[in-house]
Amino acid sequence: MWKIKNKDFIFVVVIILVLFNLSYFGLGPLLGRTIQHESPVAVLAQDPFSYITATRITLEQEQYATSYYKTCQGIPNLLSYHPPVIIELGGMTGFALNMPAYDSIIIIMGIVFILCALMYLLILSKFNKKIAMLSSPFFILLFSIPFLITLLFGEYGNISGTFFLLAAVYSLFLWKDKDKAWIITAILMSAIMMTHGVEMLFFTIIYAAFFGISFFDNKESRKKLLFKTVKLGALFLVISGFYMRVFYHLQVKTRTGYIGMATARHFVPPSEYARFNAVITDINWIIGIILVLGFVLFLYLLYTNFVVKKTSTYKKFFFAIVLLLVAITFSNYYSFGELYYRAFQQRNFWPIYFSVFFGLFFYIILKQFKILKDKKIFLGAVIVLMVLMNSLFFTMPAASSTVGKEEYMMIDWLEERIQNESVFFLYMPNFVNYDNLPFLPNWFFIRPLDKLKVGEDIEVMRGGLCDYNQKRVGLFGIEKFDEKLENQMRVNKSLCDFDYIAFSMRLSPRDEGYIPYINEYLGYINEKNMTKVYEKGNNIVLKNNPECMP
Amino acid sequence: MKEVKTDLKYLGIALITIVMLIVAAFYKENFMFNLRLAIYLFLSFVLPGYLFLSILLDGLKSYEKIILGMATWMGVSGIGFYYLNWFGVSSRILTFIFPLISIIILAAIYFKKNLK
Repeated sequence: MWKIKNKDFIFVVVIILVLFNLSYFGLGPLLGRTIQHESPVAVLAQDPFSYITATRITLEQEQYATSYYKTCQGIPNLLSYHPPVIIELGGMTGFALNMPAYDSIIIIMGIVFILCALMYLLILSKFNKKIAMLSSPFFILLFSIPFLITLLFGEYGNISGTFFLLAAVYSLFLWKDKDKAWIITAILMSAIMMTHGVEMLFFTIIYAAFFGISFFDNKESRKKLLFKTVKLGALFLVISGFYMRVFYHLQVKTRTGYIGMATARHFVPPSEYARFNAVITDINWIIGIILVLGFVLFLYLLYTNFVVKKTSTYKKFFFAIVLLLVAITFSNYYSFGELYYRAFQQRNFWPIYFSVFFGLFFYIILKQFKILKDKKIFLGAVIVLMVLMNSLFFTMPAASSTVGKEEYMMIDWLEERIQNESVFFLYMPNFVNYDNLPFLPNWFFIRPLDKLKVGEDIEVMRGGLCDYNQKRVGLFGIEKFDEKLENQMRVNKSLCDFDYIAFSMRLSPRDEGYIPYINEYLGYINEKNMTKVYEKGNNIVLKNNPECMP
Repeated sequence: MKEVKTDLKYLGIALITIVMLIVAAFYKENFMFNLRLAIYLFLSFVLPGYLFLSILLDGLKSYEKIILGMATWMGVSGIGFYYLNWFGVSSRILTFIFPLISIIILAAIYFKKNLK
């Protein structure tokens, strides 16, 4: 019989099993078991395309400090909108593997998504490794609907911000006996700030809890804690201070240009938004019972650790983290403004945040059968739990996309031929709106489709990433650009104003109600004697008739 | 010296594990491409992150250095690329130069510290 000598051996095996479970049954099938694709995969909304476009900008112009002039109505040096860290990593992956942007950003996001679970596993291990290991089978639900929506709908900022948040939280545990751990925390805090600012707010709350607990628990090391906190803040400002200035100019000072779009496409009323995100009834009732019982056990543990016996500072901090992360996902009931919506984003991480209750439940069960002591039997129990979770409560995701290969080919065709001419995308299937997708300087789309009015001017929206107006000047200067960009977000145009009309005949089921409007408008276009310059499958591009054009 | 040997052993295990995980998850992909992805992840994030944490924090467990090191170096790379972009350095060049220089510098400090 073989003996397990290394005390961390089982934990390392479980880490590898978690990675295998999430990549083989989750990410692998989601991307169709390949890394390279002919068109975007695992994108089911418009938002991923803004990240794909941002990554494309990085690949095309080999930098992401300023936006690509071609997508910004030909205007150079406008500041790039998205926080840069995940975009830069997507660009880096694209360069290293010579991949298109849509492949490089999704593979790096998939890896980060999996690493979120791993990072939480490490946090749990700081309390009890066995509970951590027993919690790990629950992570697989990350790749099930509705939780997977955070990846499919392109909440890449949310995912990568949460990844750095969990890493930064974990680094706080190292403060206990590693003097320089604050440097790692400062780097990870800066990464949060430069990835998704909202998680920075969450980290601040968690850090406040950490500071409070450490401060009141350890009278003798208060000075040291204060000094470390000052150093942490100083290094954080040194690393991310300049970006915070860019962030202020882009997202705070001149958000008005963007907010119109944001309201239309993303921050729709909460009930609508919640529909696409996790609600408590999405959890299977059997799992629900396990989680409730696990939560009761957690509260009991909390009681015994705080009231009955005095627990260590870092165990108290662990309890605070678990409760705070869960509380954030319900903050829609007691918060306001932006946070109101962010609660729904964080709910997609319930398979991570709730896993501890799952693990605790099975820890107590296995303890009754004395399975915890034998390492091999314990490992077997973890594997059995993984198999049960996978087979009973999980269905492997399938590779899918809102943009088919054919639509992507049409956009490629347009990008190759169009210089400054205007293009009106009359209809493309399944797009909330297809803002950001084509690399064209002058393109428009219409939403909702009942705005199509035969013979009249129509209110169209200008596509492209540059719905803000901050320009880089010199080495460090930032200045407001003229008002032109903002004011052109929505414009009234006649059909004759466009050089090209592009559309797909592949109608999405969600747009069936608009069929009369589209058909009537196609009839109107037909009267204009336009020239068909591209036709492949369901996709058509028409060149406008010179007599129609002004 | 003993620590260096242990670190090399765990880094080797990490690389093999990454290759196996990627090959298993993406078995329809060309093997060489899977291998390239694994090596890219290892050289760009895992190795520099591991060395960085080994230098900065004594006594961390190997799995901590691999996972937290990867997260830290992903942050360092993303932030570093953005600021260097701001000064006109190309991301294409940085993709190859940044990990290379990082590994050379970090390895030099690491060996100096551990081979005394």
